[in-house]
Parts: sequence; C-alpha cells; structure tokens
Amino acid sequence: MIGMDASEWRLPERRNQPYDEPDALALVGAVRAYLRDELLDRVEGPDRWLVRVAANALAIAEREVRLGAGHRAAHGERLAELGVSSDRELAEAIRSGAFDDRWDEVLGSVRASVADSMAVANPDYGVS
Amino acid sequence: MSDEEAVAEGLAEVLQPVLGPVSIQGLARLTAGANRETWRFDAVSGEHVHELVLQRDRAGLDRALGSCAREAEVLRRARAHHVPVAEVSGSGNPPGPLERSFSINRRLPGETIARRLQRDDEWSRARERFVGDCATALARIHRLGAEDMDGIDLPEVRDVLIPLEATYLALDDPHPAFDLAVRWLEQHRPEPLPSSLVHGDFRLGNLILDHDGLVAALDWEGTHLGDPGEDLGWLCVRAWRFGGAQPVGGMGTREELLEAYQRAGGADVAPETLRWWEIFGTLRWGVICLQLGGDFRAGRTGSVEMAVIGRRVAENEHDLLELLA
Repeated sequence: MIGMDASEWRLPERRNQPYDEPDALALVGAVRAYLRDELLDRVEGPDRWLVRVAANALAIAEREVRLGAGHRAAHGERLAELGVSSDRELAEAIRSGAFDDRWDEVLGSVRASVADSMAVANPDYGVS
Repeated sequence: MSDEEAVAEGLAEVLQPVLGPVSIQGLARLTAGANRETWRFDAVSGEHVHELVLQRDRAGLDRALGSCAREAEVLRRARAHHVPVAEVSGSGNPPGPLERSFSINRRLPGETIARRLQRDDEWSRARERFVGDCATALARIHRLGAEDMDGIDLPEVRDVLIPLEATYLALDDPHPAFDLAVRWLEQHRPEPLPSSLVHGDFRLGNLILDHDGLVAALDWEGTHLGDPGEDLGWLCVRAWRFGGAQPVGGMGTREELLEAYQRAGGADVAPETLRWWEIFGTLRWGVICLQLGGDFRAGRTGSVEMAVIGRRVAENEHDLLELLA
C-alpha cells in the first residue's frame, strides 16, 4: 500500500460483537431505504401500494428496536402505579368497575402507553 | 371448463331473460373479499353494450338465502325509495347456472378512491356537496323500516355493544383503551333513535362519486335493521377521513352533517348521541384491525398488509382516548 493515503480508512467502533456491522437496525434501514427510494419509482399498479406498506413495516421495526426498551420499562412502571402487573389485569379491572373512581388517572396512564405505541407504529398520526 | 368460462356461460344464461341473447366480453375478476368475489364484464347484444358487475358469494358460503341475492333485493327496494344505489340487473340463489348466490349490477362511472376525491381539482364540486349528499342518502335509507324490507332475511340488531364486546372478548387480547371505551359506552347510552334500515358500512371508500356528487352507496353486505345513529357515527370515524382534517370523510363538520341530515328528513340527532356512535364506530374499527392483524399473527395469512394492520390497532386506541377525554 505504499504511496496511498490511508488516513480516512478508519471504521467506526464495532459495537455489535461478536457479529459484524452493520447491525440489525442498519440492515433493516438499508432495505427500507431501497424499497422507498429506489424500488418504488420502478413499480406500478397495486404493487406500488404494497412496496409502500413493506417500507412502512420496516420503519416500524426500526423504531421498535430503537425505542422498545424504554417504552417497555415505562409501561411496566405505569402498570405498577395502578397496582396491576399486565394489560390483561388492567383490562379486567376496568371492566369490573374497580377503576371507576380513578377514571382520569387510568385514562392518563393508558394514554401515555398508547402514545408510546403510536411513537413506534405511526409517529405522524397524532399531528392533525 | 375453466372457472372463467363457467362464469361467462352462467352469466349469458341468467341475463337472457332480461337482456335477450348476449355475448359476455372482457370478463375479469376484480377482488376476492372474505365473503364474495367481484367480476366486471360487458354483456353485448348487437350494438348494445351493457357495462356490468357480478358479485357472487364465496364458494362454501352456503346459506338458505345467499348474501348477494339478499343484498340485491335490499338495493331494489332502496332504489325505489330514491336511495342512490347501483341498478340491479339480475340476482338469484342456487341452484342455477351461477351455482351460488349472486347479483348483477350496472357498472357506475365515477371515483371511490379517497385520496383523489379529497385532493384532485376535478372533484372540488363533489367535495363541496359531500356532506349534504351523504346526509340526504342516509336520511332516505333511514326512512325505510322493517315493513319496507318485508320478506328479506335481515338481522335486527337491538344492542350493538353485545356482539362487538363478544368479538373483542373472544379474541382474548386485552387492550385497556378498548375496555375503557366499552365501560364508557355502557354507562353513557343515548336515547335510542327509532329503528330503521342501517347500511352498515357507509363511509368514504364505499361511496362512488362523480363530478356532481354522490352517485351510489356500495357494499351493503352488512346491512341490517337497527339504530340509524350507527351509520352517522361510522361516517365520522377517523379511519374514514383518510388523513383529511374534517370529521366527515375529511370534508365536513359533524354539525353540518347533523343539520343536513335533519333538513333531509332525518331525525334530530343530538351531538352527544353522534359522539356515542362515533366512539362505538372507532371501537368497532379497532376490533376489526385486531382481527385482521390477528389473521397474520395466527398464521392464517402471510400478507404484509395484514401484518401492518395489526399495528394500526394503536391508532384506534389513540382516537378512542381522544374522544373519551
């Protein structure tokens, strides 16, 4: 390699050991970009819609990988504050009327978890 | 003989008494829904071209009175009362040349695709008239009652919450926002409106418009007798705004809808009653999304579209919580 300038060859630190990079998130992102930015322009008819749906599915997966851990922890804390351990328990308690006198509190708690769910599924939806 | 040849032969036979001898041309299958299949074709006799659509029950959907022929009978009577619907050219039940329950309707020129109707310049006049046209059509549908549908096997739904709640519970996948909605709906039932014919799926996407406005309400598969508030609320559900800002199909306000509905002879519906039905409709669409996404989760379909619909459940939870707040 005599005579070559190698000063810009240095790669980012590999965080994904023992795997190689790109990691799962970056791979999904690459396919999503391919679908949306390249393939979409070349297909017609009903396939256009399906390519969009497929790209959207990958965008959801990317957001879930990035945000999931935080959302799951926050959801667990919210359930604990209401004294239940799962959506199933909460749903049953709501149905039985056990939360009728804490309606606003439960509504606020469920709203916060649904907001997180929407931040992954469709972050642009709430804006209207 | 292929399925297509059999359909063409059957069509020529059932249309013969109505149109005389015809040749069937351009037969093409359009969709295969859960319960029925749709074909488009032309019936040609001499210089006359009849542009038609065939709907036929899915194979194996055996009922005493098939769904397509039943719907055709509802359409005939609704049309006689000036409800905007497709003109029925023929219908029948098995046994017969088309083997299953079927209906043949005139193909209507116009547009059903929401995004085009909401955005493109050519539909601006239809957009202006949208709320008024829908209100008038619904008032006409709701003027019809059990006596007008005599002899047709129509279900009568007395309490809409019972079947919806049963479906939700059968899925056994608890979503607390849905339980909050069920609880609220149970505790805030409005005074029922007089029972009438209910379309069951009256919303943007199932309405065909031309440049002057509403031409026909399509997809009467879920028609029944019940509270007409159901149709009004369903029309306002956010999913049927397709991204548009206004509540009624993205094109008008709830107040405009209720005023125009009453002007057209419909009941005087209180805003709170409409709200109840909109919340009910949003819950209904949420449960349907849960079912469709469930088909993917349970391995009944590999469709990416159905997979992503599973993630649309959250939109309905969001909408319900906004409406309940």
